[in-house]
Amino acid sequence: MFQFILRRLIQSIPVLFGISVLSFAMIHLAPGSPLGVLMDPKVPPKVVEQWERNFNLDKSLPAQYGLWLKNLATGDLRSFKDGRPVIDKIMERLPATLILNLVATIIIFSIAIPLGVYSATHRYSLADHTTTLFAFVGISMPSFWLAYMLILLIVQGLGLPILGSRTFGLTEVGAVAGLADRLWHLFLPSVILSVAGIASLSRYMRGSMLEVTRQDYITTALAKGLPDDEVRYRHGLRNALMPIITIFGFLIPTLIGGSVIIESIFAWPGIGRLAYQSVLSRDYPTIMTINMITAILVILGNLMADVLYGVVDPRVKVK
Amino acid sequence: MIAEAPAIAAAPPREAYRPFAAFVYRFKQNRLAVGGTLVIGFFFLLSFVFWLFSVQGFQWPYDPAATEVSAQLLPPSIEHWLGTDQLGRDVFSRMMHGARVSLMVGFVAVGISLTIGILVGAVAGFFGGWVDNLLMRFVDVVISFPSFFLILTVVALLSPSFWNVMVVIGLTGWTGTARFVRAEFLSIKERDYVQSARALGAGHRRIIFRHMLPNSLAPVLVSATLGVAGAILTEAGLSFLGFGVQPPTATWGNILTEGRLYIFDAWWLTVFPGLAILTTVLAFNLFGEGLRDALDPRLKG
Repeated sequence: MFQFILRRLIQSIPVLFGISVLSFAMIHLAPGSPLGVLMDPKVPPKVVEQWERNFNLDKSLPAQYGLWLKNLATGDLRSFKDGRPVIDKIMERLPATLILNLVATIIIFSIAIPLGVYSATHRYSLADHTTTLFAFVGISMPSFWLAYMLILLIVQGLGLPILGSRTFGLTEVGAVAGLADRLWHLFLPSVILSVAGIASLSRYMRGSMLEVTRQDYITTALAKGLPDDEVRYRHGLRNALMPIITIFGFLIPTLIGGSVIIESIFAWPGIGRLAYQSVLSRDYPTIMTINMITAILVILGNLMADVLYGVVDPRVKVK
Repeated sequence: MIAEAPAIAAAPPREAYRPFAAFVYRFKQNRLAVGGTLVIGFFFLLSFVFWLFSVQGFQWPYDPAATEVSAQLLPPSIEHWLGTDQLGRDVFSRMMHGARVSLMVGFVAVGISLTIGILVGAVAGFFGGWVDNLLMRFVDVVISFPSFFLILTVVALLSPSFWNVMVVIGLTGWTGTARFVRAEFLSIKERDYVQSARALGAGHRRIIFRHMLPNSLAPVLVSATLGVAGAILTEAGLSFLGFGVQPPTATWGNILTEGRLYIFDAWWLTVFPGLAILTTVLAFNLFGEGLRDALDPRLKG
């Protein structure tokens, strides 16, 4: 197992290298200069050249790539926008995003799996049809639209504040009220972030459960006279859960993509919003680094899924 | 051998099995899927009719780009079915023209990603070995980008034009198809009919395109319809961040995006385009699901 993880980590190095080259090339080959955004036409060309030298924009692309890599490794990579180290900027934003995504993931799995199982075991019942319809609506809804509809309802109907990670100006309250306030601010964005995930995962779970029901070993177990529930949960569910683990790996990029939008709407101080702001200001070092960090998260997620798969399914040889 | 032939001839004539008719029959059983198909057809018809209008210079009910200072932010009424926006433009007219853009984004993007996905997946699954390894590592690279952020970055840097948006969505969306096709190929490769085709001396290309691809098309078609739905949603998301198809071209995404600034004063600017996106995407999803059930009854949920 340890060897497997080690080998997978080593294998992911070329993948990360590929990602860094690809995103570096795409960002730098795009027309337009990062200086264009902050530049005033009145700035004399000499100063512009000076800036280009400062940001290494006068060097060749491979040289710039090398410098980016070196600076990233030494932690000396600085933002074009404000000259602060990129790592610092990201690290202060990362926890907010991780919390948001963690809560969303927990919500997704704890709702979608029971829902899917119930749907499959009560196939063609009213509950199954309702779940199916809701799942389809959930997948088909733009998350930002849902967010605005909920904002319309909550702000206009209930007058509750929802933006940011806590209520602005709310400082003179006890620890409990402060915590409740933070939880409330965490609640809405994470629910919206999880809607599409719940919808698709519950469908997968339903399909997986139905698929398992058709297997010979289920027929055998039933033929032996085992009680329905025991067959359903001990033989069926355990096997049906296995393919769901792979979904975990797929979930991460979707969640991160979703955070860009959700964080922008809710003014959530996370990495998604930082990413959006960096794209707007063409802050290349920050964009690149966020790309890399999210890619690392995705790779780790997939690795975790594979390891878990190996743990739960002994037929899959971890090699 | 010869002795057996008369026995077969003597058997009572069986009704020919027509796969397509069977498919249509199964598809029709699924009411949600039929509903989805009708909705898709309806939106197609609408966007075609309004495209004809715009080509003919016939503006009905209003010119989607005509601003009217005295008619700003009017709620839905008999004159303006879905109200007007902050510039006094008729929301209904704008949405009708926006339908065409949304559908086009969906189809062109999926066309691009299908082509790439099928090729990559087929080659990887069929040849296996180092080819498979190399291609799948490339898929890993592309799939490890949170695609929405990638699309956002590229579109923002390239300047968000209509074509850029479609092409970039298409170029990032093929990994799912590639994986499906590859997985399907890996499982089909060892099947008896492929082995027999090979034993009969069929070449790689014939085996891939005549035997394997048609048998793995079901998940591809399904992922294509679902891909159209995804692409429409992605365009809407890009619009929302200001990098979708740019105004004054009306798309559902940018009507919604401009409207959110007036959300507390003019709910119709946010609600209607959102509902249109939801309905279309839902229709494609239901259609795709019905397609899968009808194409492959074994998978029926």
